[in-house]
Amino acid sequence: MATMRLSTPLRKYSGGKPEVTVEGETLLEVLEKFDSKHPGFAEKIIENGEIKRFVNVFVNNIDVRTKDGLNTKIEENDTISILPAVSGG
Amino acid sequence: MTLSLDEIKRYSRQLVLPDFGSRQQARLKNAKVMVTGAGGLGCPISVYLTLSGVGRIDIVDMDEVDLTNLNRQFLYGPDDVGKPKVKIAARRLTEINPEIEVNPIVEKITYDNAFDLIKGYDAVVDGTDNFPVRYAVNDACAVNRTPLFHGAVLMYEGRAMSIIPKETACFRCVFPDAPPAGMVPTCREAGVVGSMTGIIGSIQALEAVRYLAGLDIGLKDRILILNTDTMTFDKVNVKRREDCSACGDVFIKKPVDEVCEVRSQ
Repeated sequence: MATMRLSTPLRKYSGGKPEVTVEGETLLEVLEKFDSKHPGFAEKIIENGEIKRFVNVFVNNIDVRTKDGLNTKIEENDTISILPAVSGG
Repeated sequence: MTLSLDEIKRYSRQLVLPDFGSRQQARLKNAKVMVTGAGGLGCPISVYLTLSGVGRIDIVDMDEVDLTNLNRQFLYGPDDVGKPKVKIAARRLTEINPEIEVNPIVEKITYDNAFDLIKGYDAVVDGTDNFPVRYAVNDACAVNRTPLFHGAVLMYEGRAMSIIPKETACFRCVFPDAPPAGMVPTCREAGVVGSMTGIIGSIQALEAVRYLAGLDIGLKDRILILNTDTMTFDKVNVKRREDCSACGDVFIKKPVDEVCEVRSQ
């Protein structure tokens, strides 16, 4: 099981929880599995098979764009952080 | 530039720090900093720059004080409602530290004026509240090679990162495009408490002060994420994009549509 930390704008998909436990071999699989229980989640992050340009996904604090993107392998105890841009001040 | 006896006394608690002395204080005194926005982030940013002894602070904001500002924007009181924020802020900051110069600039930052407005500063500390202005400030700082100390808040979450153009990732390297309207709520829609903007603005000011004093800073190529639901501070690593439209090899103008702007009062 890995942990997925959700930024505030995405917490409506986790019942308000800042972090959830997730399963899957790759990042894409994790996002799809979570989406199957919380429909609409994946489309906030993925567009045309890629991570949207105003969202960043980090695995163990490393940007997955510098790894294998959506195909990044997810290991037991990994922490996934999903970060859309925010602008409040 | 030397320090007066009053200045040595005023700043004595920071001058005794092991890595901070009169040379670092003189660097702050010589520094010219722009604070964009005089709201929830702009208040702590400008107060801490003022207290630290940054010699010249220009604050840009076009808004007037509104009653809804007063849960977090501590430079203002009920008697200031309806008055230009930057004028009230500049007067108060000058009262707090008469040794420095604070200039109010009543102006709306746009993609068209940002490049001229943000010119000739040693640093910019961003306390704006919407995507069009944030991208304008980022792009102007990238083109003018002005260090930018970024911070943003939403509900109980806050972020900060420090940007040294051409050296570290800029806001647009991390988020090349703004989210579409309605995807990310604003503070007005989603809410914010005063201590959130206080924490993030203070971190931005501290990074700026350390940078201006010539000390190392910790938020280059990193985003600090503060989650106060669990009271955790995380840092994620980010990287410059060679093809970034702002700080990459070729600058491409990419104004963010004002349509998605919803002001957070």
